[in-house]
Amino acid sequence: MKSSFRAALGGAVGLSLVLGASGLGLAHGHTRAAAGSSTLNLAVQTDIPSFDPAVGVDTESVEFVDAIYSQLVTYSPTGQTIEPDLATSWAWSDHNTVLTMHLRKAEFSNGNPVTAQDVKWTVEFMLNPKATASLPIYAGLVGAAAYAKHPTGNFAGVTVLGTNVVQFHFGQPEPYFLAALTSGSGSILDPSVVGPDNFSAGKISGHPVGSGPYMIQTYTPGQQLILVKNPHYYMPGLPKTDTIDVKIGLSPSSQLLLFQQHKLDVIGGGLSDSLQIDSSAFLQQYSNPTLHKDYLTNVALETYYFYLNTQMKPFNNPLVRKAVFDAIDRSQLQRILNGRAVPANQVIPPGMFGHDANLPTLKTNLAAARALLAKAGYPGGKGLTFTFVGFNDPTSIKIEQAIQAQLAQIGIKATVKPEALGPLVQGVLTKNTDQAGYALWQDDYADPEDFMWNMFYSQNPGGWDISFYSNAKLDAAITAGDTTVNQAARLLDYNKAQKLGLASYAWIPLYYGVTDILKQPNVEPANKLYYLHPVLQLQLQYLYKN
Amino acid sequence: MLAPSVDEVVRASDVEPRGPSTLVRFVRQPRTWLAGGFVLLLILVALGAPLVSPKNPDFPYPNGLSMIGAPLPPLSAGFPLGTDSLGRDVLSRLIWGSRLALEVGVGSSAVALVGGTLLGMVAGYFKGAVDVAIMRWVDMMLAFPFVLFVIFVAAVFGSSVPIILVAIGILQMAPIARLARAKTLEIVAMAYVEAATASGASRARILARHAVPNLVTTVLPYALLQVGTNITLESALSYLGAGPPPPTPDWGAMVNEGQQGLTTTPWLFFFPGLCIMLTVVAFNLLADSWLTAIRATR
Repeated sequence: MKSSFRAALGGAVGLSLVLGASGLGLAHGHTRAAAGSSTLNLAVQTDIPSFDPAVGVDTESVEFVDAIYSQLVTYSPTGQTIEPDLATSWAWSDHNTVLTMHLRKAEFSNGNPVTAQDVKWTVEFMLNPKATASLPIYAGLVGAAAYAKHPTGNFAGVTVLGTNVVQFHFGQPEPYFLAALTSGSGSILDPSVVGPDNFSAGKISGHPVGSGPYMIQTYTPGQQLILVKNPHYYMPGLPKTDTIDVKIGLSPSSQLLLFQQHKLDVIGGGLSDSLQIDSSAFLQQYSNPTLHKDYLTNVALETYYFYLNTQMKPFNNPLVRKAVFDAIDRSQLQRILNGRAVPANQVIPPGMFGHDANLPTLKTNLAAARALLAKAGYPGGKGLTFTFVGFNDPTSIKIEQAIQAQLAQIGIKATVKPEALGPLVQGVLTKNTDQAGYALWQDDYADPEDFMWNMFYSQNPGGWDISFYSNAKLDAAITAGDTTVNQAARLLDYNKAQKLGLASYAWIPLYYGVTDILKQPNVEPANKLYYLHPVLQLQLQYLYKN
Repeated sequence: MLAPSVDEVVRASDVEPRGPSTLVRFVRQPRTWLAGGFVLLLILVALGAPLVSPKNPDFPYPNGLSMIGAPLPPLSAGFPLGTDSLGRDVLSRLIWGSRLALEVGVGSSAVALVGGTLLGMVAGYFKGAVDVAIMRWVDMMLAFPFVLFVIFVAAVFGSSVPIILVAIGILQMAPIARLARAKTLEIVAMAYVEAATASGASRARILARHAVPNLVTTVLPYALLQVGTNITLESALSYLGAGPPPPTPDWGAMVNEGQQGLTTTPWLFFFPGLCIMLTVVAFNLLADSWLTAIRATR
């Protein structure tokens, strides 16, 4: 008995050690930010996939890309208007096909001046196939397609009129271009980091140099990122906090524990893969009046969806796709998310221009789903199995399991394969890798082109048509919407495109996200838009501790 | 895990018991009944899961969550032990989870028992280069980090139940092989074995008739102890996310989910943790009882 009790105790201690090692191993490997300076303490669960603005377009990378780099224009802190950033003024001419921008006097964090030539170089970099840019925001410039195939010589799409004057030339109007420039992909790079004759996209991520409010002091992959104030930042009075200390690899439960111990200042929102605080953290703050007042929430411009690879079995069969479409119960997903979601009926989220208020609510129809499976040659779902990928944070794993259970109701045996953000992003862009997946598209900029072109347009080589679905009419409707200056006409084009996209059943809208954060009472400002901006997520440069 | 040493077990099996047989001594102990009763109950529950489980363990019931999506606490209508964060019945998942626990716990012990006994017996009987090779493999496996090995195997070959079972079984062969080798060396030195060899008995016959029966008495308690260890190991793997894929009801994975809501949903951590603890203690008690039964009274 004695040895058995000791054995059981040993097992309990062992389990506690595992608990400790997996979630609370905080001291090991973490350096401290400089003592005496103001420091904002944050944490992320998974490592930051990239500091390269070309590829770092996922929700986590973009948070830090925005802190390190500047763009030509940005959104106002409240997200209502586009404001000057590196560019102080701009004007359209030639029937909206030429955009002339005047730059302010600014420097990169290494002291090099930001010039119009750097802007041109950046555009050339982003068009270079070696950059593997995820968001082709410059694809509409004159000569862009040809330059992307042979990135040598002078690129005619951008001209330098002076040290601080740059001009963009378009083949046709792009009404969303200013909005696109606000995204991380619109960041301006320092050519000296790469060197003129030694192009290497990897150098950008390994040595990010921007003109944003912060620069990297230290980065230990998988452990810690310390950002410090960029001494050359051009906005007076910003950033308000000298140092941002980001612990990497902390689970949501560990983050909540540290938050309660006042060792983390903000959790959730753009720092979390699910863009929300963990469910248990939400329930805690819901019942705790002390935490409740520092809980902030906002409806996000993002759509969670389930995509089906139309180039792989079984989803090359539209009947099977429709069956899956009909089996999804969005209200159940909303409940699992503690109500922090709005059931979706289209890809463009509410609050964004292009959202079609006339589309009906999507309903679950298990009987119809079963009938479709039988027609497709899978009666009762027999023989129909597939694997789908998704995020590996606790919230996403719950949703993935819920979808798995919903499909099991019509006899489909789906295997869930949660993955870390980096490998997930890599895999989804490769045809014939993933049969299906649970994904999220969050706006890079507040224009429907960001959703429609990237998610649906089949001819976009760097895009996110991860269903690999191709439809000429859909592509044409998207092109029409992207190039029409008249907003009413754009709306009609995008409405048509959405209907065509939904009719393919290759993208199954699940829900629109509600993002939230918990912050310490002494973290200012109190306005939630500095933390849950519709486009920019955490605006680190404005945050400070009282 | 404070398992008996090789010497302890070998010494315990050395002594000729006086009086009642080992089995009788084993059965006479109260803890045998207590632990054995629990294990038997567990086996019955595992085998009868389709009948005993009140609900589908994988189904997220719409009424399994509160209005704000919170899991229901124990004694909620229709959910005696509450629900998890998807609205799945905790009791049903615990019942079905017992299948995985026993499958991996007992299965991997069986793999270790058979494989380890064979390896140890061969090493102890043939000695020389064979012995050296096998024992170096054993040393290597004993030195290799347990959890890392199984995580590596799961990452390469997948984290299905058979793979995890075999991986744990292979790891656990090492201590049994050492035990079996020590006992085999003793057995083959016995006079009756020498006599059998001299009279022309084949190696296979000697091993089968003399070595194996004696080895079983020696290694069985160790294998029983391993059941508890293996269940804990499998639970730890699932806790670390390297266990069977969702939605497989798995006590370790349930502990993992439960620890995320320690203060808001403690039942999600408590009940699966209790199941793991009771199961491990029960098998350890059985092993202890058997060990006591084969010790000689002084």
